[in-house]
Amino acid sequence: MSMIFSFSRKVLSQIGFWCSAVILLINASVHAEEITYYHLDALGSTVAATDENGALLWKEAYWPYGERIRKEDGDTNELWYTGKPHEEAMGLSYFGARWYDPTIGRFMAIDPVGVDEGNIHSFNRYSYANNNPYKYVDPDGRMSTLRFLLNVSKAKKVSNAKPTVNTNKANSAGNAIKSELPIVKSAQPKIDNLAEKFGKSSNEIVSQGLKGKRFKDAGNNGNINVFSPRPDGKNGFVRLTLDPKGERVISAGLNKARDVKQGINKGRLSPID
Amino acid sequence: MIKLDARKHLLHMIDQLLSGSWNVEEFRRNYYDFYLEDVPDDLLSDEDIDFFGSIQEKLDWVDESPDVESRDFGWLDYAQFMDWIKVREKERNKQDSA
Repeated sequence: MSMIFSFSRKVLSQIGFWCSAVILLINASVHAEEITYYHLDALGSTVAATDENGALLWKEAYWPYGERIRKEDGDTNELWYTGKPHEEAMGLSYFGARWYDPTIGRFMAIDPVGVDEGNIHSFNRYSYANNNPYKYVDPDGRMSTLRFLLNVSKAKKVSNAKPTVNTNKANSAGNAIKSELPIVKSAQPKIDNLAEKFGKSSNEIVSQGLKGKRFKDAGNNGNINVFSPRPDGKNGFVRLTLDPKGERVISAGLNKARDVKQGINKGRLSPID
Repeated sequence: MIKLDARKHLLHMIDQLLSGSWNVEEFRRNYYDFYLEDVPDDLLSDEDIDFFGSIQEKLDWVDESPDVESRDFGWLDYAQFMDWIKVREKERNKQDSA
């Protein structure tokens, strides 16, 4: 079950938790000590809200591409399908890189990432989630991702001498990927540089980066490159490089989108997921 | 910026490194961001992207003095990077003259 604790005005904290295909998301804000629990489905869409006594405030359901079915009064809630902000007046949801119309299941602008010749769905520049919205989601309007790859737990405290990051990911076969990844010494300054460039913490860079698409790099020792969209929205990717077993972060940096595409086209990079 | 300017500027920066006018850190500071942020995607040929892009990416594997574990995963020190880029430059010159 997923819940968001909400005291309406000032946001105090936000915690995500994933357990057996269930998401727990806690978002606390203060307004006259009112608490609202938001319940999310597996796609991250808000499907219900309850108050602190467990009384149901509203329920919602969605058509496959995100159009609200019940359209019950959600009070001040603006986060609907896949947890994205929805502008009721426009009928559009904001996905970051693009606006999305859940009524027609299409983005309102072309995919800024461009065509990926290895993915037939990318030839339709307006399509959403590879036209398979139960299996895929599009976290920021630029790349469809298997929905269960999105759920990342709150970082655990690790008493390891080496810097580590905790993730709780699953690969396409549903197998858990290492939940603690050490970072080799020389890679840490590269991660710190990215954090400074994008105004984020190093831990955020790694935890966000590990949610990206994984490619085996035949041109570089069989390492695993994980590409995720740049946090500043510019064309290109943040790349985390893992060792061939995916057990540690061994480098990090940025890549131009065209360089990655060329690597895929020439067979240097092959998708793992 | 037109194609020739971007390509010329990238080559000029490599010359600065190879001639000793810049050290590796100065080269990284100038080259890395210029290639990523200022060179339009559609202006370089596939061969140019192979060359210039590989240098940009290799800079993510360069450290002044990598420890043993980092070296095991392919990290280069400054001198090794200089050797590597000289080899790449020679290969590119061969291709250009062919």
